Amino acid sequence: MILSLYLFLAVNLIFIISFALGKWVVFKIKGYPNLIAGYALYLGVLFVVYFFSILAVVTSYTLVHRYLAILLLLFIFFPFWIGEKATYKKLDLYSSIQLLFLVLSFIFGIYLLKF
Amino acid sequence: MSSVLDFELKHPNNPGRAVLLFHGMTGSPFEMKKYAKHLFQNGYDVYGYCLPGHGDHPQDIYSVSWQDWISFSEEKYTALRSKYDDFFLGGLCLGAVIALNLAQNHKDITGLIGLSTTLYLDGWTIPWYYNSMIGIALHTILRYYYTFPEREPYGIKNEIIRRKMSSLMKKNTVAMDNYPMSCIYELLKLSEVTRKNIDKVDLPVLLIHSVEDDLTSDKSAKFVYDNISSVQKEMILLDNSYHLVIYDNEKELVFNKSVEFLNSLSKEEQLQEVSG
Repeated sequence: MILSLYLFLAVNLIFIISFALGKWVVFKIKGYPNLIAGYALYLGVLFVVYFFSILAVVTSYTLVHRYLAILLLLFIFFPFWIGEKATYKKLDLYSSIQLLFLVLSFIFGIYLLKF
Repeated sequence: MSSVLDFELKHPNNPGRAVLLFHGMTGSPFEMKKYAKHLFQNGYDVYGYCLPGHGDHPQDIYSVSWQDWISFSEEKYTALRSKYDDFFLGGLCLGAVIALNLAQNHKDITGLIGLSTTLYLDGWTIPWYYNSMIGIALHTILRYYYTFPEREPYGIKNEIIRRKMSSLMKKNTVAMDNYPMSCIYELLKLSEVTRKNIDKVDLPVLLIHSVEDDLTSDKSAKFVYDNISSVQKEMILLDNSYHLVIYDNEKELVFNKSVEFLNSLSKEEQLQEVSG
């Protein structure tokens, strides 16, 4: 159980750093569409790993505290909710919201360490 | 809003028949010009306009929606229809889907030509990870960051023509050199809407598609052919071309079959046959 949580925290942290790096550095580079495409693909893979790490945490928790871990499942849905709402004109805002939710899931993961 | 890439090929005396052409995704009217000139030389007025998000300001493509494409095409259709007895629609790739969508809502279109109709992105150059990643790529914020770089064979089987097209791509003057995922998202949304109502298309249709299309397999053309309500319909499958059928090895066949199709429906042509 604890191993899955540490794994989730590690993946989440890598995701936060990678997403922030993309938002503020990589995606602003002009003239290298292959680099940007590759980095976006990398973030897509991270999304998938992130989702699976959440599922690993939820399924490894004991029944008593599973209701807490289940809240973590919401963080699987948030990226799709943000994706539906996002527009190109407000991309900066929505990418910030996405980053915020990644940070919130990390904080929640730290909180789950108590149990 | 007009673009320098728009064209209007009009005869001095209104021939009574016209074709409104729609270009492909990330393309421009320039890619339809040669085809348009052939139709023009065969007695048709031909119109081609830059779709919203394309052409002069490449960044606009990230904020365009499929509804923008449809309302634009409606506007052009409304402006032109009443000027001609026979009015046809034609389109390449995304343009063919727009034409089909327009045909679903208007019963006074004489005929429609769909070239490399793109309802599905399942051609052989689509990356192997596309199917597994498409949910993430399209439905999260990543859709505004990810682009598919344009890559060999650029939709053209003929190597000489491909090299010319490749150098045009590098200049990025007439088409983009990548497909933004947000644009693909809008294309797939439009495709979904069009497929749902495909049975409302009941006008004469000619579909031309390559069996080796690198971007969209002939599943798209076959879907249209099998599901439209048209009494008169024809599907030509090419076996020596890729996606850009109006540039590739069988372009003469595409041009000639198009004119043949248009003439078979044109009242002007029929009047000449009767009087001749």
